[in-house]
Amino acid sequence: MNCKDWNPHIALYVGGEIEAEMVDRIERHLAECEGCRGFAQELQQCQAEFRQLRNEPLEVTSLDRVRANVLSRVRTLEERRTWLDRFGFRWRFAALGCAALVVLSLFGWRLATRVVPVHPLIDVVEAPPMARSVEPAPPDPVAVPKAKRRVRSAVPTEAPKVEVVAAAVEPPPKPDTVIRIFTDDPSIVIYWLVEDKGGK
Amino acid sequence: MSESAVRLLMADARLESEGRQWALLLERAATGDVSAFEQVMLRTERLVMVTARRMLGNVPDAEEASQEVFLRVYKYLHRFDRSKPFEPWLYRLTINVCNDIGSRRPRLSEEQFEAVDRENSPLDALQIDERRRLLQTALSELPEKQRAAVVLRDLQGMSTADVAGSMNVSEATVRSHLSAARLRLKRIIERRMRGNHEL
Repeated sequence: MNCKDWNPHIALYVGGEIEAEMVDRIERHLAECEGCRGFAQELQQCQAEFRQLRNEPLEVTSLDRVRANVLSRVRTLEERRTWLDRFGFRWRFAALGCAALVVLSLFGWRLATRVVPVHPLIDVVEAPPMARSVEPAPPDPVAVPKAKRRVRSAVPTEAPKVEVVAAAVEPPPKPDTVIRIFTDDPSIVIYWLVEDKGGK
Repeated sequence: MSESAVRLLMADARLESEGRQWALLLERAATGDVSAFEQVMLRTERLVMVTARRMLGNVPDAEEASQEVFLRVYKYLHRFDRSKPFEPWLYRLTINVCNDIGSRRPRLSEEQFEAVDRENSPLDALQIDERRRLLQTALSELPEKQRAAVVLRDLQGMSTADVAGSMNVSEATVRSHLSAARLRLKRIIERRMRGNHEL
């Protein structure tokens, strides 16, 4: 290693930043080389002058001026600060996220519970009694058919026999349904009578 | 227990209590307590001002830099990791702000660096001020990172580890910056002194 290569190590040596194993090697070289010794002394002098600058006085008025300016700016900023600004960024985003979640939930709930309105133009009602009278009367289960009675009366010698014809008991008729359809014209209403004929 | 051991324990307890008070003060300042922020400023303003002045070489720029540093402290204190020491973070802010301001300003001549009043004889004061200006001019000619390393280590007297923490680089990088900066400073000072003698 020539003297030029030693210079960066000497620059650290004068400041006390060199590794312990390098210190011995540098000191041995400085003991042998006069040029490097002079170089190290110059650097040490420079360091000493820098150390003198450490004790440089500082104007108190300068510090006061800076403090007054900063505090006045800070107070102005503090007055403008809203309650949301007092939270950190993470909390602010978390609060906004929660608010968005609540709004979305409310919207979803409204969609789920919305009542679908029945079409206002169609109304299903029970038929009035008048409509039911149109229907033929149900057959009397105990009544004898006319034709049979006539045949029997043709035989006068025998006592008239009343033969009871067993007839199937039909279930009571279901009430008819009337579908009322309203049109755009309020004076026109369409009635649609649905008759139950017992069909299967 | 010996008297010295008791004294050491008491000193430890006092330091711990001061550390806790400082942490509380930072916590309050981070939530927007202006009086707590003022306390933080009172404790650290000298450090910021001195660093800024050494980095920039004159008082008006140093004042502007200090104001900007404390406004950034107020703005970003809630992001500061309170488990770590405050000073390296503050130094980092100061160096960044000084680099920003320094890059906007034209380089000052030797005469523009401000003189400091000292209680010395007029001749001594003149020589000291001349030397001081020379050092300050030489400092201003260094690249930003080398200047920051020299200011923090040689002028502020910080340890290499603290300088590394403040500059957010490794200790080896700090050593490399310091070595290069000292060699460069020596060359600049020699060149200027030779120039003065020639005049």
